[in-house]
Amino acid sequence: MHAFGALLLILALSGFGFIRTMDLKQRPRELRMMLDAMTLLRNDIVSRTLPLPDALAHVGGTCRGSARTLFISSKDKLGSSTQQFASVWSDQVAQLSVLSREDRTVLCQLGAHLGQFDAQAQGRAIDACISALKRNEAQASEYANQYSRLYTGLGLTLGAMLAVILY
Amino acid sequence: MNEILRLFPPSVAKAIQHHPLDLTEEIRCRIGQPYVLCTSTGEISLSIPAAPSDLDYILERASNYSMHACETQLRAGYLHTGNGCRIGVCGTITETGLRSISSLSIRIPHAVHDCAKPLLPELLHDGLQSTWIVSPPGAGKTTLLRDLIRLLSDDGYRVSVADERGELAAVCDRKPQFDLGPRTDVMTGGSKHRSCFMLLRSMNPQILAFDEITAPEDIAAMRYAAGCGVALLATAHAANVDSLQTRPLYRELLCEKIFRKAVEIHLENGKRTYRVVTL
Amino acid sequence: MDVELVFKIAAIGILVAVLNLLLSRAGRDEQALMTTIAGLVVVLMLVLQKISELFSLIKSLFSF
Repeated sequence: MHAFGALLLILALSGFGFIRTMDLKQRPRELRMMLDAMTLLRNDIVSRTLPLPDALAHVGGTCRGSARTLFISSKDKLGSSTQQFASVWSDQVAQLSVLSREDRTVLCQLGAHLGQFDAQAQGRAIDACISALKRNEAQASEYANQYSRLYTGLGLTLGAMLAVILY
Repeated sequence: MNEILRLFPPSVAKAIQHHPLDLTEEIRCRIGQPYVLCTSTGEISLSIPAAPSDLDYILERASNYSMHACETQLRAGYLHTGNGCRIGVCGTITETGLRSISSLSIRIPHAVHDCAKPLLPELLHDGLQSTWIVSPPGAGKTTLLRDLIRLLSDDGYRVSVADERGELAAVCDRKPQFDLGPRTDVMTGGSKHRSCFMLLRSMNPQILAFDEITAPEDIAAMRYAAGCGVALLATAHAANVDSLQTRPLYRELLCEKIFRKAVEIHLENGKRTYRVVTL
Repeated sequence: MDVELVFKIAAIGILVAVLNLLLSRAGRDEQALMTTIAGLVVVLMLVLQKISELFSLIKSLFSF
């Protein structure tokens, strides 16, 4: 019985460590998908001059994760909302809990430019967003690599220690 | 009408709703000044002034959140919405188009069913000939032309429309928002000159319709079309037929006798009268 | 003699060493030091009772 309890304890704490690792790795993954989406968006707006709702639908349809949620829900809210696009976009960005505050700020800044002015200005705004997100993604990747092993090991070791003490 | 109200911020739309939109021809929005509804009988001033954010809101909706897709139009100083409204835009001219928009003039089109019906017998008297619709701005040339196209199409004529500014047919999602008849083909955008040649070569029209002749190249296209035996329908800004002579472009057309008939529209006290003149 | 206790202390020692290694490799040196001290405290608490028993024993031995 003791052994079973000890095993459960170890599994539980290792589980915690593992979950933390997965969360850490999710942010760079989501950022990479967002970057792909932004590249597509730039192409749609600058080269094809698609109207914004169509561009949002097109990009949203081809990506996954929080990028998909952002684009598709922004496009859906546009039809029924009485707010300007920048507010609709910001509201949807605020709901992306996977991304950090800096990531969300960058995205909100982009929202103020989408659909406004000419295609070249929008292209420049999207480029600025892409480079900021790229920097964030590199940082997040490095952080995840460094700390993922730590958290898994930490969970396992602490679980073992607790099991030993309480045995 | 609801679609037009959706262009405006909710507070403004509520104020506009109190007035009959069916009689309104234009809504003018100037920053700092009250909104003005222009009807054929006069002007109605709303109590709310237009704020810069209001204009941003209207432009955003009018361009379907895509100012980049309307660059060409904005550079020419106007914008077309999906439901046929033409919005005149005033602001600061820059290299890439217009910035710092200060005022808007939203022209609401009204299809007046059968307004051209009384003219048909006279126009078709010796077979349909090239006809010019002449009037001062805002008197209803486009509305009359639209109805004429519809009636002729219903009558059995193959009509092709070179809709350079998208005002005649207001094509949205590949479908004209105005009823132009069952035998009408619409080419939207491009220059009239280019559309004209494309339509003549591929659509085999009996009638070719355009709005507002403005460029010298259009004359060459018309000459060619008339030479092919196609009847032309077009509009021109002028008080009456005699004042057409004052503009070199129109003088050339008159000399070459490309147009044989003209319809003058006179607007007095909100009432329109039409007069058919043989050129 | 409580052999279990010896094994417990040994296991805790090994695990503290592993934790120390993980944390210092991740650059968290202060946290590594803290875990070492915490491990020490845990072990002390484990043997506290035994030490208290030892002192009672010595006391009883020398106060006949």
